[in-house]
Amino acid sequence: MRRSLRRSLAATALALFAAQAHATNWVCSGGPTATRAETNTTKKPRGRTQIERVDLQQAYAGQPVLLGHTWLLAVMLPATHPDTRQAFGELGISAEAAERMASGSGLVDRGIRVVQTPAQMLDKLANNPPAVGYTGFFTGGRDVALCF
Amino acid sequence: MWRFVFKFFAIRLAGSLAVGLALSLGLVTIARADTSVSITTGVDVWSTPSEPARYLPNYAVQDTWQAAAPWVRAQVQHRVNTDVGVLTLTGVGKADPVNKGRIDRLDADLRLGHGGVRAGILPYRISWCRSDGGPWMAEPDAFCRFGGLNEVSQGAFGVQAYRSTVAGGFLIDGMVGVYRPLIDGQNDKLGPFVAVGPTVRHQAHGASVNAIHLGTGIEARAGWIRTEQDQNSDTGSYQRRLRYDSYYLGLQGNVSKQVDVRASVSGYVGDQINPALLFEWDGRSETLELIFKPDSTQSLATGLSRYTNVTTYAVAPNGQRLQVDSLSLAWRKDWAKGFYTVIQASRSLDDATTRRGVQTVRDGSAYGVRVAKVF
Repeated sequence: MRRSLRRSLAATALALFAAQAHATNWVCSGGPTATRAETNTTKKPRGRTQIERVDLQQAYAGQPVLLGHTWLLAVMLPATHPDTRQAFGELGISAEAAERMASGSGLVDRGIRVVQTPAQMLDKLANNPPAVGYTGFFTGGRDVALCF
Repeated sequence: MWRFVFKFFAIRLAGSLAVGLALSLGLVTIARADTSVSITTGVDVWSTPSEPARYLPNYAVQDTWQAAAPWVRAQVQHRVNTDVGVLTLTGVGKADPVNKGRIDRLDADLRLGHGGVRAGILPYRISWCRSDGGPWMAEPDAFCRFGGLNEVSQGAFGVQAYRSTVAGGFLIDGMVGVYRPLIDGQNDKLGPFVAVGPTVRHQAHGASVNAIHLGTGIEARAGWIRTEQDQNSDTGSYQRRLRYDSYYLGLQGNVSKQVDVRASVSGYVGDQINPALLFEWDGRSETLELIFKPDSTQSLATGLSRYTNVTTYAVAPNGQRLQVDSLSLAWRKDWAKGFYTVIQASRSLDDATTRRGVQTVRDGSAYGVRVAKVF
């Protein structure tokens, strides 16, 4: 009985560790991380500046998200990319829907951009703050940081 | 001979690159730091073993498309966050041997939360015709591919207003627009007809609705545009008045995580009020596409298309019919450093019956290769 319980606990711990290890790293620019670095700014934010999880869902669903004075840009890899599958699975949104909204054939130009590689994603985030993206393995980058 | 061919090719390539570069640099100069710039350049080569059938990629521009055709496409976009909303300035232009240099977009878009307005040279946004071809060199839908039929994929100077809402898991967009093609000189590229003389009046208005399900990615589009154009004949003896409606209905989604499907019907219905030759048209294009994506770098596409045109004249003999069926296959591969290649094969069967009842049936194939790089 005790051995069985121990096995169950070990399996649960392993599963939690594995889930944590494969969780998406949401990466932001110009958000709370960058705000902390902007000590010289004198502008008072019109709205909140903290990125929340619901903002990710709204941004990748094509909805406008206002952070401070500016609008959030959502950057994604192609819908068939493994990191995209992981990230959109967490959000509960169709990656194909987001990719189509970014294609330029829509009636509205959404704040969603598609890039081909994780390196391009980090560049895009750094050059277009505030912006959000994701990566399976984040080791740091210029002007970008983990969102949460 | 080879020297002549190389010289001709090099001159065209240099010309296209120069136009594209000038366009890009000009737009970049007026933009600021958070501008996104995308330049794509490539070379297309088409080959036809037999006489080209109607509306195949090299039909009507045979001399140009038989040889290697270099092209450049540039897009510059600049987002400005203002107190009232996001202002996006966009410029899109391209240069190739068929179109020479042309501007497809040059507009300002002010997004006010869930709605917004645009002004400038605008795409009509009626159809899902792809500006970059997607997995294709030449799309299966004749209305997206062939100049003279492709008004639904075009645009002109005008104003658009749009609004979005979420209902029942769907993101629904609606848009209305009014256009004046004479202002920006886009008049010549529009309309399913042959010009009889200078255009003295040309205007259009239309509307589109698009719905996409956020959970599944299934998307539907309905678009319509009404065009009115008056041309004086070259001799000045009469004025031809064209009134026609173009429409588009499309549905697309994913059969599985790797297979996309798209079905569409587009067409134009109208008449020519012309003292010399009264007639009515009814043109329609039905297209079905299946796109298999084994991974994020490859697309294998299959497209079936049927284009029909029935022209009815006011005087007997008054019926004329045309039907063109086509099958297209394409493979696109994205390589490292922004390079991509597309290989396409298309085959079509052209069945035409004239007013005198003479039927002509012929078929043809076209094979194309594209090598391109995105900067």
